[in-house]
Amino acid sequence: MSNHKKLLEVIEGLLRQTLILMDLAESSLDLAQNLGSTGIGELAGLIEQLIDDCDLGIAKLQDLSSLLDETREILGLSSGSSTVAVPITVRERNFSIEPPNQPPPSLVVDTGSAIFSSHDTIIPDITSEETAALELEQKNILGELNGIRRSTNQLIRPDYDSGSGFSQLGKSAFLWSIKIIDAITILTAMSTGGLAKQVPQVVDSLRDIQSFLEVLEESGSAVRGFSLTDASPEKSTCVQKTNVLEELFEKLNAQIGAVIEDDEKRKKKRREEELDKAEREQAERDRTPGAPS
Amino acid sequence: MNQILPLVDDFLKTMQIVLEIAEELRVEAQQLPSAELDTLPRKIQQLDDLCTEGLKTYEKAQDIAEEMRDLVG
Repeated sequence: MSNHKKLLEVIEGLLRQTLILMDLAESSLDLAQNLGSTGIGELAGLIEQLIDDCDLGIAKLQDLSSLLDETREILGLSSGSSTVAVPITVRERNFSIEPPNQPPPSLVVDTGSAIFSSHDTIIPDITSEETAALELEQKNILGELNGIRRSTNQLIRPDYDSGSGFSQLGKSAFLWSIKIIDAITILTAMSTGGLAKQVPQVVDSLRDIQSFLEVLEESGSAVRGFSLTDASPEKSTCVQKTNVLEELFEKLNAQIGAVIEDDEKRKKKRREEELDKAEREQAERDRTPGAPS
Repeated sequence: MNQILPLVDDFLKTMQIVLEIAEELRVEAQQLPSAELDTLPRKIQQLDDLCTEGLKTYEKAQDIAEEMRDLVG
């Protein structure tokens, strides 16, 4: 693998980690803002969660630091040195998540040989509107998941009878929601990062997310079914949020499905056009005397 | 509960700084692909410094959260 390709991958990793870090910090801020209005019985759980989130954030920053070391290594830089051993210039451009109304960014690395064989291959057939809609849905889902995390956290209270099994359910649901938030955060960063980079693998990422959502729907139904056996306000909130979440999943799933379908249609159309063009060119050559066939 | 509120406030302020550092890290990292070769070492150092600052701030936030836990018992 060439140095420039490695470098771009490391930078992509840096961006992913910073996005996750921002989500973690926002989530901690969100949680801490609710501490003042939280009952004494639930405080301990929330504070424990803040400490755990800080642990995760610290780990992410350590990952970032390692990635920076890797970047230095690729560039042949010793720590703090200005020696550059790899003669490359990374010229372009937007490695960022662009606002939806911007034209798709292109990625050009001026190395004498392109990373990809042609410009066309790095432009996915996904419109900026589709990208914006997907990002919005993912953000909605993250918001709902944070809500579920707060609701389920309230279920882990010492005054619940652990013998009923509900306390255990609360803990499971709580851990379940944390895991999903982490996974969705990573997937969001992955897909938006991919979209920003304009690589063909975006559609594959979306397929992965789609499969993941199907698993989540099953898990959500399981939690909802269990919660319906009792009707405390916290459980009712949890059920309502699970319902909202399920609707959001369904919507996102449909959107991803449409994007994948459209992408396939567009690719098929393009292949047909290329075939037509090749046939026309062949016919032209056949008509020209002495032209190579 | 009254004792915990100043700590919550302190935690929020510290976490806000973490968020700002994370945002700055993201912006700086985005600029790497378009950076001139001779500025790369400085830019990477800048990112490294931000990471160090972020780590310190996060550790401070964690200390505050642990203080809250000790108070709640």
